[in-house]
Amino acid sequence: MLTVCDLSVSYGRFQALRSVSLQAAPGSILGLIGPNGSGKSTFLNVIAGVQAVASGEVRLDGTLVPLGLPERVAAHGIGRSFQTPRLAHRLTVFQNIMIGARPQAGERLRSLFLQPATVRRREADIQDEARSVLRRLDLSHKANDYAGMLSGGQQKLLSLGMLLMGHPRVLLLDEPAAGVNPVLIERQINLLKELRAEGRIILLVEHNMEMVCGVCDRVVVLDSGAVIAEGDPDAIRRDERVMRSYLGEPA
Amino acid sequence: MIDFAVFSITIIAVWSVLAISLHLQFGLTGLVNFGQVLPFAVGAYGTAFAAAHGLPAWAGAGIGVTLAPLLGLLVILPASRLAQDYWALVTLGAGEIFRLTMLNVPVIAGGDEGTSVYRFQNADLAMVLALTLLLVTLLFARRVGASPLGRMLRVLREDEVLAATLGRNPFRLQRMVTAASWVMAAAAGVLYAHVTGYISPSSFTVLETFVIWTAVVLGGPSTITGVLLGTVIVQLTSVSTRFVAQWSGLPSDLVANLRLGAYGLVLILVFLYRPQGLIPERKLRYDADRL
Amino acid sequence: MLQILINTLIYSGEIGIIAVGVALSYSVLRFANFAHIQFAVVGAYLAFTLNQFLHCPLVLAVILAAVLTGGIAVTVDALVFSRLRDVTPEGKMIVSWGVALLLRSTMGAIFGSSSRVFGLEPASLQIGDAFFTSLDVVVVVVAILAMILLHFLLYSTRLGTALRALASNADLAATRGIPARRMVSLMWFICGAYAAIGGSLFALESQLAPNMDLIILLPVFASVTLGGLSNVFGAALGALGLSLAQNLLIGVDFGSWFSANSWSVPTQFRDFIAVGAMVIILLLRPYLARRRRAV
Repeated sequence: MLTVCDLSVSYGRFQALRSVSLQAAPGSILGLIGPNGSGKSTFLNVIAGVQAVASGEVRLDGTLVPLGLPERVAAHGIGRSFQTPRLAHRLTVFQNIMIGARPQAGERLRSLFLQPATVRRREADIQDEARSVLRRLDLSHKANDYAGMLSGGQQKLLSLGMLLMGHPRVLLLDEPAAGVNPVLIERQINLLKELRAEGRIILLVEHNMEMVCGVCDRVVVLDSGAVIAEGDPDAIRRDERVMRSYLGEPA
Repeated sequence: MIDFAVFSITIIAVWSVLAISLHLQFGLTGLVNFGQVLPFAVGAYGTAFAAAHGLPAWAGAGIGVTLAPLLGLLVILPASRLAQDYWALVTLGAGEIFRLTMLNVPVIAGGDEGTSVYRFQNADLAMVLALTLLLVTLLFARRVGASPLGRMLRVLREDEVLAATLGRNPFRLQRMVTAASWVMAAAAGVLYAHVTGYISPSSFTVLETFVIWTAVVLGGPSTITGVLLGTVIVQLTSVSTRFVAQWSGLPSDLVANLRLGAYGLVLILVFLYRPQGLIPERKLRYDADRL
Repeated sequence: MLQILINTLIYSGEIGIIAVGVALSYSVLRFANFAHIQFAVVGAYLAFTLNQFLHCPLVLAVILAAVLTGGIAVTVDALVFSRLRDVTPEGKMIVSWGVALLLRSTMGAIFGSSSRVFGLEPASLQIGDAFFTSLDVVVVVVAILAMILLHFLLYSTRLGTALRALASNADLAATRGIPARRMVSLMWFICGAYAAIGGSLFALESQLAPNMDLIILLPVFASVTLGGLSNVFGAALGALGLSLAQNLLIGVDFGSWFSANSWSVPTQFRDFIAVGAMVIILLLRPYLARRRRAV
């Protein structure tokens, strides 16, 4: 269970988040919607530890998640993808997938030189897993292309694959469907459903309402940094207040 | 002629170690070290300090090689968590400060006048030692570059935040790279001191840093073959300056200036026309279809 | 104490005029231009040549040198920097060192490595127990006028508006029809000209040698860093603060605090203060940035 309690963030006088609280259970997809600038990305950044300034707390299965330290947050099994995918552009797709695996014995100087056999074994395992993740994403044919050469949609799939290599319990996805063609959106939707069936917690920030309604179990609506509505997708769709804030006009 | 060849190979080997050290820092990890001459100078001055104070040569080597990585960690402290602009400024400043200290505090190693240190009497021995050091650094750098560690360092070069969100501590990795590559450069400095037999601050100006940068950028910062090729080209022009001056009848001062100008031109032209250097990074291919 | 303040003004004037150019180009193009230091050296040598060999009056020589160095800066941009759009800031910094090496070796090849002096004999002046020369007065007045002119250029002309628009958002500025190319050229002209004036003043006060670049490198970049890299007048204030710190440390007799012997920090150590100040600011920077955001 992911529990977020009273999260607040401000830049100067501007309040980006006003004591936001929410909960998400394992095996569920929680949609996060709201107009631009409503604090969705800030919210993901804070949970992922990329953004430091915050009051409030985040707990995963009761354990306090340290805020402001992305490398420690990742160790708690929380992974974040970015709206503009962050990839190592001058490494291949296959290498990008592999860097998601953690821990890697071969990243320590000591084991690199003193335990070459361990390093080799771990590396072989990582390669096997990378192959299966690539197949799952249907990106095997791109394995040896530079990540920077992929289309926007493929890059989003790749960054999702990179996250999966770290076996996250919580996935924070920032607009995975934005600027992606319908075929790849369909593939992502199927993937998200599979991940939910595996018992992971997924927080999905997305503008594409079809995707949100298609996969989310529950939807939280943010406006000006505060939660203004929460419920199942259909109820949210019928909520007049939400539609007004979101679309700027009565539904 | 053979003497000259032996000397040239020794010098090229010493500077190759410096280039490999910069390859690890910049080519793999993306760290813009504009003070690369600092660890080199620390190694040389460890030796000079020992010579000036009557300590044995091994003690000098020990001082240089231990002090350099410690100093490195200290230098990068203010730059960690900051952009590479600041990294460049801090390392540049640190290198200059070290030189100014050696210049203005004669107690350490003779100040402006410099210090004589033990010079290898046997040029062949010097060459063998230099080549051995080169081989060790080369094997180390190759092992790191081709390993999962090298892969993660390249991720750091592309995007530090990505490395952090994947659960790595970018600063731990940066510290590790700095310590390791500064040890190499310091060892090169120790050897350089014993090869030339004389150490003074004027050999360690910021301009020397850019002789290393020219070699690395020209050859291709991200490959070991590249930085070695670049060093061979740059150092051949450097050691042959004397001959060019004799042969052309131009004053050696002028020839030295023209050489420096040529290095500047190389830096500019490489970035304009071949930013990846003479030998670009090779793509590492994996078989994705194997079951 | 008065002497310390006067020395502070003189030194910060020389360094400040050079430093504002680094900050100006950084604010618009987002890279630290190390070739800027060489613009100052080139400018000083040009002023020297015009004055000593071509017998221009000194004032005219410095003005002409500023114009010529501005031209050199514009040319460097046209030939090099403007063609590096897609290169990372790190790459641009490295290239700027390439330009620096090229300019430095050109000066060295033409003028040799020996140092030269203008051979001025300024009148000595005295206020209370503080001594200075008529040249010092000129340096400070020129520095103040240069800052006022720069402020006018950046805040009261179309050029300034355009440059500030480019600095804050280059893409947006382009869509608003700001002629970026021409504005950037103008900016380089200002950078080059200011560097030349600063370099000339520095050479007038001391001497002219190819290694002048190493002498001004650290104080200039420390001032710019103190001012926050992209803040033009921050760089000028940085120069002032740095100069004050240096002159205080060098001018104060620390020995008399502890014993009867007088002892102060030798002048050669002023660069330690430059780097020290830079390091302190960088160490505090994440903290300062957080404070500013949290206010």
